[in-house]
Amino acid sequence: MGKITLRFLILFTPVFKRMGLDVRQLKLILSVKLTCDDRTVSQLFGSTGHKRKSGKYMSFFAFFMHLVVGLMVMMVALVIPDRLTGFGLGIATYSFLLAVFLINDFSSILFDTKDQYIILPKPVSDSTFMAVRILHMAVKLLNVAFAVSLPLVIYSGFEYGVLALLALVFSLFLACLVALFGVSLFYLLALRWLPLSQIKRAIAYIQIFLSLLILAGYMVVPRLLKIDALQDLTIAEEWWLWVLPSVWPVGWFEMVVGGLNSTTLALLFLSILFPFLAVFFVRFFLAKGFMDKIFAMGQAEVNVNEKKHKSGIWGKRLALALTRKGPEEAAFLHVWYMTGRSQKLKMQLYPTLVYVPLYFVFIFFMRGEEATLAEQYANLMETGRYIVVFYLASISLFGVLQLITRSEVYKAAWMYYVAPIKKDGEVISGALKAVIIKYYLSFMLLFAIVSVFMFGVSVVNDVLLATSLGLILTIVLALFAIRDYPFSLPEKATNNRSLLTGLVAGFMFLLAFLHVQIYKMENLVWGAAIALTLIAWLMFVYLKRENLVNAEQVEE
Amino acid sequence: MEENKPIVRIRNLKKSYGHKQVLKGINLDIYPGQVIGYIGPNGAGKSTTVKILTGLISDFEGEVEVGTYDVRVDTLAVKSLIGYVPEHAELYDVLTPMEYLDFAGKLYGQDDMLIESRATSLLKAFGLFDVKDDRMESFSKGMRQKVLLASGLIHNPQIIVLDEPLSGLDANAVILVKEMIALLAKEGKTIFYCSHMMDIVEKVSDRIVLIVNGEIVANGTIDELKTGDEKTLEEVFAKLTLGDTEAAKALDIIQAIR
Repeated sequence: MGKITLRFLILFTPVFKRMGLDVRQLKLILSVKLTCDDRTVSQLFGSTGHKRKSGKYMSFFAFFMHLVVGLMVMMVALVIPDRLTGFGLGIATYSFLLAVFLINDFSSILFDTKDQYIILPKPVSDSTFMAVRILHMAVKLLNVAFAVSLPLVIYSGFEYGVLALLALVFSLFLACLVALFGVSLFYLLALRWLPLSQIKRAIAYIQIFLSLLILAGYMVVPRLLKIDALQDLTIAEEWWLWVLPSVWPVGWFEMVVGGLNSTTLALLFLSILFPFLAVFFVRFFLAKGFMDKIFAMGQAEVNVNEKKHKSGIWGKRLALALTRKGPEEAAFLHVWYMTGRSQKLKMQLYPTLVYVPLYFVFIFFMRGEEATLAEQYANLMETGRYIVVFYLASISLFGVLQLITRSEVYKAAWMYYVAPIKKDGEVISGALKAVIIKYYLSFMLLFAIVSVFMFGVSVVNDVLLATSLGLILTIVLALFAIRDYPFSLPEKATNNRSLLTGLVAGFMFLLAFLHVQIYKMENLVWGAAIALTLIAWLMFVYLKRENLVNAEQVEE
Repeated sequence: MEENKPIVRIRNLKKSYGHKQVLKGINLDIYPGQVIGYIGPNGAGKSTTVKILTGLISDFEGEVEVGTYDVRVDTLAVKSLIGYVPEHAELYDVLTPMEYLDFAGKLYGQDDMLIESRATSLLKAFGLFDVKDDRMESFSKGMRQKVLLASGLIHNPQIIVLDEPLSGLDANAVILVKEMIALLAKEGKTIFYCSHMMDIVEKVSDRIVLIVNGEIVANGTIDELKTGDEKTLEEVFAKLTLGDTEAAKALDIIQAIR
């Protein structure tokens, strides 16, 4: 795909030459970069941050994924009966998704530090180099914009004719500009208010947030579209739709399909005004040096005045309270800090975890399409089905356990091997305690509070029982499946332990089912909860006395 | 300086990976306070010796004793005596130097207060005190290497095993480390120094051990090793490892690009 767009761009060769660019180098560098892109899938839509795939046909895969996103956009446009509102929201969604893509995938182009070592030492002029970056982004944006818009554009062509199709393409082009402006504004504000080093971090956080949002979107949007309130939505009556500049371009499409009226005219006027306002705003505020600063940011890898680190106080306090001095405490703090700071790890962790609160919300509010909220609530109370959510949290914890043994910098785990650790179970216990507190007990506490609020104090023993079972199975997994030091395996390492993890997860569901059967027998639940909590504690004591780690890796 | 009893005693040490024998019967005594320069070409068996000595590999033939402990039996006691910084050691750069040293110290079971005071002193000495609470992500290679060296010293080990400790360090830091090695030896510490940088090995070592193809081919002071008309350790090394043919290879390279 990229190569086709590249050929299109090459049509502008005379213009590039007049700008003083070395077109031969430009083509060369760009085609190499596009080949590299071909072999790496998009960070956002292609995968949810798990293992990155690479291969010959990655760009086709990415194209397909963008088409799926395009279908979502089409769904938004078509599900609302009022055409103007539907298409308006569809185009706004399109613009939003492009902006997400821009921030997510463009940051990696803008801050590509590899260029410093590969291209800058070669005789390539600054202007050519800068043009490569801009064109590289343009090629990618055009690809995405094309793929995402395709379903809606094709539909409109068949439904409303060629003229409408062209009008929609123009509307989508304007929406593209809105996205570009939005992203520029984001960078502008970031550059103005944050030091260079912080911007990268801020972008990383936004990327994490966006990937969660997309994930939530996949789950929520189809259900949301069934809500009655959306069926009656019209642009004329909803003031908040007028505030979104990304809705305005729909005026062009509506002018062709529905003719002119006061609403269409207003939208047309706003959408024409927008580019002028945006250009004025950008020129006035961006002033000079925007690209220079962005460029500097790409270079600002070293010599950054990082903020002094005062985080980790909580980690230290908890470590002091919950672990024994020595290896257990060291491993606890190690896992606590790494999971809190490594952006890459967070990108992998959060999608695993986000399912838990999402399912929590779904089970409470989204089940049963016909029932009212009150009926659903009564149904949940009666069946005790909400208890299943308490078990889901532990299943996501199993995923986290697998993640914390792997790392990009797995060789840094050499410290564990050279240190005089009597029982490596202590290290594993420390690591387990850190993830259990951070990613399990915190969720369970939250669920407990919400559930007590919703269903009364009687759920306390249910939460306790589910938690103790979760802890026991976590330790079982640690004993049989997680026999490695924290972050000591390469990311791509495969082991045959996923089967066991799967089995344990399945078993967890069985336990949840059994729990639902007995949840009304309060005393039985209390008794089981207390006994199992004790067992969990004893298992921790046992774990610490074991030697679990296989030392074979040292020889590598 | 030498005492009668060696702190490291290696007898007939052999190690094979599959059919390939990488150590073919090493015999070596190291005495407290000595600085041993352990040198040899790539693949000679240096790293394997170090891994056995530091208790990382237990599957070998022969005897290795550190202090009064047998490496195979009392691995943990041996590990406690040794401070080891591997070659190309990686570290967790999302941690700060203080946190990393705290992590290292705790793994050696050190007391919190002691770790803090030692870490502070070490970071001051290495010129990293001002950045002690910064994440190491932005650190240069030299700064990281200094943190790694500090992590090898945090538990005040009796024996210090350094594998290419000067990689990434600038000229001033090299002086600092050289001086540090001399002072550590004066304190009675034993240093096992692996390196390819012959000029530095020559300057810091009391005794040089040269290993080629899994066998020790030379063991003595620099003066003892200069048997012929060699003036430097580099020349001794080239002679004993057949490195003088390398000069001819260099000529081939020039021919290739002409």
